[in-house]
Amino acid sequence: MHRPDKLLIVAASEASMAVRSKAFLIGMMLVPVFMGVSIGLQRISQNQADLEERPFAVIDGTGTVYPSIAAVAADWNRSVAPKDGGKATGPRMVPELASGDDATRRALVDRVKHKELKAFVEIPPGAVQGDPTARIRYYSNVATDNTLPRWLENTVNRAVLNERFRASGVDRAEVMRLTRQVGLTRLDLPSWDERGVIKETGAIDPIRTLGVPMGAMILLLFVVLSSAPGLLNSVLEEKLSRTNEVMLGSVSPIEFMGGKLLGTAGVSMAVSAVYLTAAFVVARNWGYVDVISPRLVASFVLYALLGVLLFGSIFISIGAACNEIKDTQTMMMPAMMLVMLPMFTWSTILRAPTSRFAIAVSLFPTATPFLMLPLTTIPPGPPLWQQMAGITLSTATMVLFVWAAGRIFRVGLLMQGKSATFADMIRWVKAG
Amino acid sequence: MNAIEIRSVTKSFGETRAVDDLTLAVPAASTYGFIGPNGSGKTTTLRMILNILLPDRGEVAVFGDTSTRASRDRVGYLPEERGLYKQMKLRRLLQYFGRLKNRSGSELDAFIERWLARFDLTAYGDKRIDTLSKGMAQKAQFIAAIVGRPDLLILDEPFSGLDPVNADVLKDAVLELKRSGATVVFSTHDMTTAEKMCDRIFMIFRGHKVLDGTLDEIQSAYGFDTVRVRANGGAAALAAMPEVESVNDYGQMQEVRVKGDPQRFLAQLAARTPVQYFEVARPSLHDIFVRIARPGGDHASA
Repeated sequence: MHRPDKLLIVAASEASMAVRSKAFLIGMMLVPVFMGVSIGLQRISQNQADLEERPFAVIDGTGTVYPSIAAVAADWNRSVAPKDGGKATGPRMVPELASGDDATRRALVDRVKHKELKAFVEIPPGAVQGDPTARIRYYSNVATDNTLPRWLENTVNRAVLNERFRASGVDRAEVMRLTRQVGLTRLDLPSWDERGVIKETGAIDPIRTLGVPMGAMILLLFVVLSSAPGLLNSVLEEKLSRTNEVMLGSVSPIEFMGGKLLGTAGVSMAVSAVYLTAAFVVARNWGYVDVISPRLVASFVLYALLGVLLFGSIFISIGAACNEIKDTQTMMMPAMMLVMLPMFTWSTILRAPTSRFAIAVSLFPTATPFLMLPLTTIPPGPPLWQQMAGITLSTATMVLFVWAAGRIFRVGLLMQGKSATFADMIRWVKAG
Repeated sequence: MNAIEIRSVTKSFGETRAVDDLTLAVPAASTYGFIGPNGSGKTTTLRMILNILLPDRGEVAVFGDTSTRASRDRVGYLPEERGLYKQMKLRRLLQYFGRLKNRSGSELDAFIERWLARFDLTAYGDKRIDTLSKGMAQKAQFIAAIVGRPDLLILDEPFSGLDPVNADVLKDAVLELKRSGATVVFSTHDMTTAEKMCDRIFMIFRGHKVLDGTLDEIQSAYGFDTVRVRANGGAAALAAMPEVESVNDYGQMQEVRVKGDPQRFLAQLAARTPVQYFEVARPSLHDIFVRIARPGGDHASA
């Protein structure tokens, strides 16, 4: 008969040892720290506008658009200038006209090199005539600056269009009105009240439709990967130090393994609590506190437990079957493929959550925890039968894995010398 | 009453039969020495007693309980290699092992403190195991083995790697437990320790029981066929003597197993060379062990 009290003692010790390790503390703190730092940096960067003046030269091959560029630059500079004692909101654009002879070009190159100019730009003669080979040529030695080239591309094109309309005598405003596109706004389905009056809903928010499912899946992967693989090291270390013999003199293999699994599950719940709290803080900071619903929290806990027990039993089996660290590398490969399966398929699944492919992969037992959770966060969520089938299949597989791990653990734990092969492990499971 | 009863037990690993039809009874409150060469089946036998391994055939009863799960809490085990969690602090580790043996509370704390003090480990109670020296770790392992106050204590090579001072400390602790009524089973390669400490000795060789009894019974079975001799010329003087079965040369003295009458051997030796010392003795446990376990020895067909 197995003693639940001994199982709990082992579980408590396992959890205590895990949470005291530096690797665990660093791993667990990583996500909240990363979230905190990203919020802080975003907050700081929001207040840091690019104010560096952009002097540049224009070689106007058309001979007509420069005045328009200079006028747009003057308007721009007025719009970004400090107002009411405040700070400027953007960089000043300082254009100058240059001729296109070689001596001037050499001088412009020198001035860019000496940082007197940020760039010089050449507008080809055929630009106004609509020559399809005509391209604006932008010369600079700062490849990372996108502000000036983007500003110039917009400004020069606007100036060129103005010149084309002026030359053709067509009313530009009328053309713009006639060619204006009709935009599309993605909305949730509208609802209505008792009287049947339709109530408009807000636009679909990509953070809710993509960010939340992705975030939930990544956090779940963090939870599982920060706790389950530790079982492999723990079992292997107990084998190498022969602590397993002392333990087996006090508890049965099932109590021993069950305690380790239970302890790790407890640790994963602690990690989940930390991550969900961090997610709550981030969501509240960005006005998405409603997405951390009780249903999401309950689903997260359920799928985290399933994931940890599924992969924990796999990692325990590998640890029990191996006698050297290097042997675990080979056996880890198939296990990691199972972990990575949701990572390889999630983008396809989130784009078409009701497709046959999405349903099939979400029902694959080792992928269910990682895929069903994000699917439940995409309204209207998968049908109940799909969720229940996923949970049932995953739970049945977890029970099967734990049972098989128990048999592998019992034999492998005392095996010394050569590490076992997958064939050996299957034989142990069959032999019982 | 017997603390351990092993009845017709066989255990194989693949094609290798580690223990073959072994029957053994260890009386309660006795000190039993398990000896045998490496790979002879000692550890397999100990693991079956601990219920870590199950026999393929036969049964093992500990305090009359064949499942031994119920009696697990009554058994303490010290493995040959250190079986401690290196990252744990000493006091916490002992409390953990104590709780696994159903001990708890102030009684457990008091027991731990008493033994830490006895082994001069009190100052190391809050140190991690991996910071302890080998001798300290061995003593810590011993406390871990007895923290459940076992009725049966199984020690696998308890004195290996210990300096004489620590070996004496551990020996006294084992004897104290024995005096308090515990049964002590220990495996050892140190024949002198086995001779001095054990009430009974069991030797296993190639999975078979080859010796089982008190030291006196075992030695009597071999008779007075051993002489210790110191003669001019040392071992060379014994060469080609027809009465000599084998010689164990210690340099200053030779231990000789003789074929026939020791007095006749003495007469032949004295005729060859002056003899300074001559003693007829029963073979030592070491000598018996070597006779059994050496290639072509007494149980070569086992």
